[in-house]
Amino acid sequence: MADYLGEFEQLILLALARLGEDAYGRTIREILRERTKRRPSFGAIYSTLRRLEEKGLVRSFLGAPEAVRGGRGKKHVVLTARGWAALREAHGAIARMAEGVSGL
Amino acid sequence: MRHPLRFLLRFGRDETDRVSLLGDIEEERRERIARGCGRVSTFLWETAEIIGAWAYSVRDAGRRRLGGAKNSPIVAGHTGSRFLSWADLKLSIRLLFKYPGLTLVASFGIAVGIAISAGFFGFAYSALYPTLPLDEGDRIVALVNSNVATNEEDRRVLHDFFTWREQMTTVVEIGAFRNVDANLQLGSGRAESVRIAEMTAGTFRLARVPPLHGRFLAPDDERPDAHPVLVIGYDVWRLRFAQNPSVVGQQVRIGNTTHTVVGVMPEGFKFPVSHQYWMPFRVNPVAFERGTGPELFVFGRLAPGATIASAQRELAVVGERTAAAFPKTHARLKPYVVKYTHSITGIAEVGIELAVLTVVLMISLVLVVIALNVAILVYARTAYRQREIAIRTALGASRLRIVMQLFGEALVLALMPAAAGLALAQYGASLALQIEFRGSSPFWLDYSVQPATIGYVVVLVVVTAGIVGVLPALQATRRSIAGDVRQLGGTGLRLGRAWSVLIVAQVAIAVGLLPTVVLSGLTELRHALTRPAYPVEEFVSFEVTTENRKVRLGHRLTELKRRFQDDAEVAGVTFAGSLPGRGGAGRRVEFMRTAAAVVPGDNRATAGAEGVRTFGIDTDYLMVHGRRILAGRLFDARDAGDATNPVIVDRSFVRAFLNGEHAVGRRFRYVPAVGTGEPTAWYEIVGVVENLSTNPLDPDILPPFVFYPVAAEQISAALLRLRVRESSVARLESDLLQRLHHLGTSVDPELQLGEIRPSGVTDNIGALKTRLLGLGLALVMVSVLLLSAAGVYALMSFAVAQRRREIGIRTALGAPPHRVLRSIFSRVAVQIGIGLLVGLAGSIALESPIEFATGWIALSGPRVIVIGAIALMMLLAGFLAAFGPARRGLRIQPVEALRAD
Repeated sequence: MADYLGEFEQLILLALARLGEDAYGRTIREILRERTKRRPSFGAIYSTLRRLEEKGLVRSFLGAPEAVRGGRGKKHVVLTARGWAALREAHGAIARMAEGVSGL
Repeated sequence: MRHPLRFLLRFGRDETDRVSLLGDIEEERRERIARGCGRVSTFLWETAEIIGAWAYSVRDAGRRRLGGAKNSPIVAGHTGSRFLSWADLKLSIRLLFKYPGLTLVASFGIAVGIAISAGFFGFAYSALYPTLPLDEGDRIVALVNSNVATNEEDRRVLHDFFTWREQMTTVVEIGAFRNVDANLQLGSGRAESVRIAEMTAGTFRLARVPPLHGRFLAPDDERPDAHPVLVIGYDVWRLRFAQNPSVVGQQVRIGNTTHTVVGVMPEGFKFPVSHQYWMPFRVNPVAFERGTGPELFVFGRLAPGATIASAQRELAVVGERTAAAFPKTHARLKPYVVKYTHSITGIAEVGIELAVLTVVLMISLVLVVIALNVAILVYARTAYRQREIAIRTALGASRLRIVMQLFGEALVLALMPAAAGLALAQYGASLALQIEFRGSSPFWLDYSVQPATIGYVVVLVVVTAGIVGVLPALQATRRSIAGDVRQLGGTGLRLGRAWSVLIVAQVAIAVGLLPTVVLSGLTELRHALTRPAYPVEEFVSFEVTTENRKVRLGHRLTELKRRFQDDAEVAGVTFAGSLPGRGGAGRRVEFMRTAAAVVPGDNRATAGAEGVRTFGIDTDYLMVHGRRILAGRLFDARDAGDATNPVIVDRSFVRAFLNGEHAVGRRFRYVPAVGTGEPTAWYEIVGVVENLSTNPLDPDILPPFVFYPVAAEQISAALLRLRVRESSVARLESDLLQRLHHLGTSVDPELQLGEIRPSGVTDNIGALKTRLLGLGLALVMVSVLLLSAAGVYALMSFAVAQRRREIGIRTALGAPPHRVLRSIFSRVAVQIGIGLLVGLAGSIALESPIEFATGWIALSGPRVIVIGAIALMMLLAGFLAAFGPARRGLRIQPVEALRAD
């Protein structure tokens, strides 16, 4: 069975798909703000990323320290093949359900 | 600054997550500050992010423990995360409403405790660690000379200033300034007394702020033959020059010299302290001996790579060289490098930082006392919840888990009052700073809430929650599970000896400690009610001095007085040498024993003169203030300088030192209270007058006054007091003040008149300070009293509730209700009685340890009344608390009472 994805998890995966290699906490939050008008906290984003990583849908690595971040690195996150598949599946399900519904 | 809650991110989070999350927060924090978000709003945002992230990690940890299942409140409640869960928080909020009495009493107490602790912290922090809002302001330092013998700062450092400027390499751009008070006149307008910074030219470069118009002072301006110039501040430019862009080049008169305005500084620039006028520094060191000359403030910028410590090392070497070369003047002087702001606010002395912080910590102990009281209330509630705790334990919750839950409840209980306390503290601290510095607060003082104060409150909240939540929780979870489960069908904890000890301790603490607080609170309140006994609204006062503060006022003051006396709206003019002094501090009053008035064995004749105020006044001062002479005479022109040292005393003096006996003709002197010092000359009392002030509650609280005559020829500064006619009082608000000031400044350009203001205003500042202190004490008093009574109520109510079954059984066995009630109330009375005795002993031991140790107990009247009132309050709280459960116990059916076993 394909992985079940919650709404916020889908949004995060879509953000990762858009951002590519530039995806980390702040950029994910910015793109979510910009496109969904939501203002998720860092806590919510990191909690979701961790869950997605446990499911094997994303993988992450710590980047080099940066002065602007007080000498701390970024946790870069990228979609895995399984993540892409789950995203396609979830998106397809929504599209199929929406098909033919008037008023959307 | 590191956020004080960052440690929370360590819980339930791996290192990669933690590092990246902190990096994200830091990145956004910097961007917010760059965008111009305030420091406080950024700090609050950061706090919210950290707490949010912590809450998520707690939730995730709970889910993982349950194998990924969504946690239901009941499961999370006892087996969920190790620390706190959402369910805990929800339960905590519900409990606030379930026990509204406890919530209200505890909230009030915690809010007062936090307000007082955080208020003092905010005030101390602003004074100790201000940020100088200049480019690299934290690298600007002051160089001061300290006298190692007296531990006082010596500002006569003219020669040292030039030495330091030449020789120091770790401190560069060294400059100096001195305050000059002068009369400033624009065109033909009226003159006003202003404070000018006479400052070395390089100082403007040190501040790194360019002028708004024209130029700032240049080294050439300091030459003796250069044309006198003046730089003005933005506020002056706006208010006095109507923002005229062509102000540069205009002429102003300072004293008797014409100066040209050469520049305007931008808005907010008030360097070095709160200045708006700057003149070149033209003091010639050749004209002064070493160790003499004007009082200077010297400062500079730490050179790149230098620190205060390295600058101190270099300055010490320079100081030693100077001391070796000029031992006569410099042997006892030691130079220090201190933070710039500390040298201005007078906290440059070594070790003062630690002293201030210790005082802040001591004051914060008030909160600990309050928290302990709240903990007793919570303990009583926790005892009621023993069954709930037992069920949780049986279902597998660890002791830590339950303790953490109760800690979380206490945290929720403390949060709201903490916010209220912080708001109150902020208001109090900014009011205190404004009173302290009046209109001329240093430009770096920031009245907004400091992140550090918020951090301190966070720490206080955690400590309070620790005391309020963890102490009762540890006590409540001490029992074994077997014992708890056995109690599931019962009513909870067995009444133990610990319970009685708590009740006794609670009453004892209230009776032992509160009277002292209540009495000092009442004294402060009584002081706050002291009012002038003359129509203060008819008086205006201002300081009179000359540019050279050493010159005696003499005929100038007499002429000024005459001009005012000629004015139709002035009813009287007089002056005092200064404000009343504490001439009696550290001394005793000793009366000469004459044949006519020997007072053998009367120890009041040599009573301590600690509170005596000495006041040098013009001969007609008392008359202008409408003081009636009670005996003897008022001063006349010959009294000032008379060899018999005539003085007039007031009614309080006669009451305090002469038991109200005849005073005129008696002679007294001051002798040191301890040790062997020289006594003063003898003073002869020539008159007794009514007190200058009155107190409706307690006339004894007024300090005794000794007035001595001063003449204009003897003083170089005076406090002039004008009494306007009753019909003109209303006009003081509009134009009369200005007209009087103008009249004063037109008499003699050399005379400097301070700000003229109605006496009520000056007097009110002192009264406001007293009232603030009184209010603070009253708040502490009420909160501790309330908490103590609530504590006794809660403990007693629970203790009697425990005996409900016993009461039921005794009733079932035929005991008449009055006997049962007598048994209950007698135990209540015994517990409170023991508490009263212990507290009373403690109170006496605290107040007068010597009498206590020797078995001689002396209690003053007011103390007995206060102790009686507190004791009565505790008894009432105890009986009221016992009444409800006792009545319910009597109504219980015998069958019901027996069934429980």
